[in-house]
Amino acid sequence: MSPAILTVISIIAQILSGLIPQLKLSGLTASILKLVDEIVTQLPTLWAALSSGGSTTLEVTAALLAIQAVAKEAAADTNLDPVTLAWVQTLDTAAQKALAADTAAQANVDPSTLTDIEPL
Amino acid sequence: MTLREKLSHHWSTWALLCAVTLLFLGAGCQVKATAKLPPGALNTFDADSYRVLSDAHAVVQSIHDDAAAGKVTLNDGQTALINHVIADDNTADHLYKAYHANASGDTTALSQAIQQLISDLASLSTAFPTQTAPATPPAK
Repeated sequence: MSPAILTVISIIAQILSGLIPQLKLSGLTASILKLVDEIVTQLPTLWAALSSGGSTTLEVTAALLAIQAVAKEAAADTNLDPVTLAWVQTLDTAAQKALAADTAAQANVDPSTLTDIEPL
Repeated sequence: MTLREKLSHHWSTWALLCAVTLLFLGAGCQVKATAKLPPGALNTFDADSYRVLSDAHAVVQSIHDDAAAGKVTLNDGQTALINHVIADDNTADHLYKAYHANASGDTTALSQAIQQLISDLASLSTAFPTQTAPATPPAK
C-alpha cells in the first residue's frame, strides 16, 4: 500500500472530523460518529504498518468502506454543507481509484499509464 | 476529553507518523525489498517507484477530473495548490520514465521528486473545508 491512498484517507478523515458539529444535530450521530472515530483511530496503525513494510490492503479497504458509508449517510442529510460533502465524495472516488491503481501496479509495471495531467 | 479534542489529538499523531513514513520513502522507496517484482520492473526501486507514482497519479487525476467537471468548486488558492501538485506529479512521472527507460540512473532526483509529490499531496488537507461553521448558535 502506498502513501498516496493513506494521504487521501487522512484528508477525508480530517474533513469528516470538521463535520462533527453539524452531524451532532443531524440525528445521524451514533453510527456516523462511531465510523469517523474508527477511521481516524485506525490511521496511525496503517501508517506504522506501511513504514514497516507490512500489508495494509485489507485495513485500507475497510477504511474506504467506512468512508463510503459515512459519505452516503451524510449525503442524505440536507442540513450538511454541500461544499464539504462534495469534497468528501471527490476524495472518496480518488481513494478508490488509487486503490485500483495500486492493485494494477503490483501486477504489472507500465509507465505509459503515467500520462501528463493538464493544469486546471 | 471531547470527541473533537480526541480527533485533533489523533490528527497530530498521524501527522508525525506521516513524517516518519516520508523519511522511509526518502531513503529510496524500498520499504518492501523482499516483495516479488511485477512483470516489466527493472528492480525493486523501479517497481516501488512505479507503485507509489501510480497511486499518486490516480489521486491527482481523479481530483483534477472532478474539479474540471464542476463536481467541486475551487477558489483561487485551492486551484493554485492543486496545480502545484499536478506539476509535482508530472515532474516525478517524467523522471520515473527516464529512469525506467535507462535514460537516467539518477535515483536521488527521482526519490526526491516522489517525496515532494507525496508531501505536497498531503498539504492539500489545508485547502479543504475542514472548518465548517458550527450549526449550534454560540452560548449566551
